[in-house]
Amino acid sequence: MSGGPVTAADVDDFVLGAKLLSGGGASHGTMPARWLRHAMATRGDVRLVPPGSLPESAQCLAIGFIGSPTIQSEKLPMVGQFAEAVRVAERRLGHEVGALAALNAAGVNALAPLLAATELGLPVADADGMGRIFPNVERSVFTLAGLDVGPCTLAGAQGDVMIIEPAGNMRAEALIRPATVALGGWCVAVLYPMSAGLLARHGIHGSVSRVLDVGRTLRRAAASDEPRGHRLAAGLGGRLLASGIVAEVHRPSRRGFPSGAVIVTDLDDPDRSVRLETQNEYMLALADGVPLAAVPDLICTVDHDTGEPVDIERLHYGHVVDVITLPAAPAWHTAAGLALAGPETFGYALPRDQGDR
Amino acid sequence: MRIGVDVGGTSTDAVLMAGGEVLAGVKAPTSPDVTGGVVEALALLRGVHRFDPGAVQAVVIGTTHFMNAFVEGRDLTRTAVIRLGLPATSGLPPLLDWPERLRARIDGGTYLCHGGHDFDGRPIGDLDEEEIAGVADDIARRGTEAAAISSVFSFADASMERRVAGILTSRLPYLKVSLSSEIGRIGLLERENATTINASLSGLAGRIADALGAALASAGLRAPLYVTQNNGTLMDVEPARRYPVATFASGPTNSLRGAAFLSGLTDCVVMDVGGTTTDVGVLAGGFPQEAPAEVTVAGIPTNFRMPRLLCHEIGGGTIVTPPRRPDGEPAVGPGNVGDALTRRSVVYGGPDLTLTDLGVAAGRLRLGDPARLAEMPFAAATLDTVAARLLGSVHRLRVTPAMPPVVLVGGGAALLGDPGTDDVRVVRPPHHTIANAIGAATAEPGGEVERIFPLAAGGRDEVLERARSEATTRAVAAGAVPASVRVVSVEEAPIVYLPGSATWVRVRTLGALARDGERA
Repeated sequence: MSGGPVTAADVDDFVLGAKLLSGGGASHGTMPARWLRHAMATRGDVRLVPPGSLPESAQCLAIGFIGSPTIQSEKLPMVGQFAEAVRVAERRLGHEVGALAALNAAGVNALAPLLAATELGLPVADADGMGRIFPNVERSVFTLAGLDVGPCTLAGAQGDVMIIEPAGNMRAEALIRPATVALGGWCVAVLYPMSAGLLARHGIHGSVSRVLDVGRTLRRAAASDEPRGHRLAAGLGGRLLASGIVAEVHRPSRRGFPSGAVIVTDLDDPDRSVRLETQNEYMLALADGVPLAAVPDLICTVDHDTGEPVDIERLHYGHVVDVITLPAAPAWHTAAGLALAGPETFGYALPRDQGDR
Repeated sequence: MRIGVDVGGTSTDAVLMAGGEVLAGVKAPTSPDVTGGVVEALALLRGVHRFDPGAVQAVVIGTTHFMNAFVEGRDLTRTAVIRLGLPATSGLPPLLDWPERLRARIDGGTYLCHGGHDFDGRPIGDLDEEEIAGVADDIARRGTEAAAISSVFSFADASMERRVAGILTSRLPYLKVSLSSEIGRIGLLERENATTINASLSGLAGRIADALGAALASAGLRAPLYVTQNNGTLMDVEPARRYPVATFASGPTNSLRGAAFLSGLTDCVVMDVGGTTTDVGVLAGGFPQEAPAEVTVAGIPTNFRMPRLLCHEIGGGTIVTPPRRPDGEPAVGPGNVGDALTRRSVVYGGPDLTLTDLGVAAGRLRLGDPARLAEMPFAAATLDTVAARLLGSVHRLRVTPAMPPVVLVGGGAALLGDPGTDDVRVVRPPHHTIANAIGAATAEPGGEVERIFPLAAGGRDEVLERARSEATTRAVAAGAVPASVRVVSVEEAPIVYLPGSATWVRVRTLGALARDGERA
């Protein structure tokens, strides 16, 4: 789909798709879905438009959340938090905003442009900057295109707004994270101000409607009784890496470094095990030491029996899962793309050709 | 000696235990007022095993009554829902997604007020005492009897909730107040909902606690009364009066723990075959494996922790349609006689053929009047098919690559015969029909605390120490002898996407009840 409205009836599928596309990352309860349903019930549907259909010069912004979804579930959002962020950004830019895009249409962040659109009555451009989740804002196709992440406008849940103008995209993360802590642990972020023309040229197209499509595919697969591993992977345009039992879950160390690992023993061949390296999301899948898939491609786990996406935090010993990989947007497989978000940038030294798979 | 009682939807089971030994167990029908069934079960118990009431050191009751009352909207106290968090939190108002029916039952108004804290302890804003005084006026005007107070990050700093409680009760001394900091756990909506459910049950909890106390006294029992909590530990009836939600969903936990006790297994799958459903859960290291997702009650998201269960709509009361032709197969379900098994089943003179009737025909159960049954050559084979189907679901719950042993418990466990195979070991221990009551009788007092804490200098050690000490205090409040309390688990996990800033922690404690003469 593209160019249609997103309605309250789409929320469940949208949230399901967003969860899978988080690549095991975003562990959050049902709060964001309840928030979106409530916002749509009180303020109406959201218009989703292809970025190319917008006037070339229309001001666009990438919208997302930064910080902890867990803290967001406690310090709940304020009515008008998105509108506040966008108003401050408009004042700084000197333009009215014409459309909203997703910073990354995956995980809870996929919901951000829709929520913002209910507050502002603006259309959502069907495009994003990552096509998945990355733990840092500069890892986007917009950075690859040479666009500035700033000015970055951050709005907390109690009315505070900060504008940050990093000296370069690679400086953004170091400035935004402490600001996020000061704002209470999470915030609405408005980044990468650009024209609709630039968004259409450089953004990843169709990534918001893809979230809905993935959710629908998952729901249909979950409703069928047939074995779904391969068919689900194929239906999503990806590959099944393994169906197996979670034999070990190594949680990240308590001191805050985010890396961990999950080991899945193949259901059909107990001698084969797949090791998933994690850093907030799944980063790398190895079988007998050989890479099967790696960031920037997406790696996901789905409950083998129910077909529901399972995130790393909820994964437990004994869980029977399908491990699926979905290809990243082509821009990520260029030399520049791999230099910004390839396995080496996350600390994994892999053979050079890995990214070409 | 201890007495354990499980008040289920259909039957009230009681067991008398001494040390690790089951002296006697009985089943009585559950009465609508709870107490009648308990009195009858205690009388039956004395009938089958004479004991000195003075020698009973503790009576432990597990009941799903509060859950049922809430879901049915019965006997609820009108509750004001007060949230401290403005200017934050206004995007998701209180009672969001509550069914209209229950919203109308508890309707005491919702109040969004200023206050609350950030995860690192900074106040979001000051408490506005005039604002709270206005809430008190409104509560007085509406005649609301209970209040649920929830403040953002109150489990890290409960001072604002306590101040609001103080202001309200000084003006309205009759008001029954529930604080979300006592309910615990991150997730404001879910905690607020649980606190609201708790407040709405506060009147009922007081009446039931009084009635149970009187019932024990009339049976000559002077032992202290305890209630089992959702996490499998027990608490004194006094705190349970104020926090009935803590005891809300202890049934499945009691059954899992009872099965562990009876079988001596710490890692197994437990299949509890009841009248209407068969619940399958997992014990890992002696603890029930918890459901990964939040628990919804009547469609309302809450933060209760429940065991992970697979529920099959099949039990002793499932209706069986006999085959039309002698060589045909009977249809099992989907109907169920519910709690009317002893009126509607054929062996009890009723009109409906149930799995229980098949169990009697196959010689697996001895109850009712077998002479009422027609010839049913298919009975054993049908039950075996049901057993194989239920057993087939076990692989979905296994926690090791190897298939764990399966423990059969519950009133309908005998229906399944001995369904073990070469791949799956199945045990049906003695006293399996009253595993729930045994789970209650063997519970110990415990405490649990969950926190998010900032990783500032010294933050971790200090907060861990505070969490340990609070979990210990809770175990003592639940009835544990202070010196007996030990920390049984400390879990920590960093908060994702806020690197180096904050960590989640959960501390669980367990203690022992005082023996005679030790009680302070």
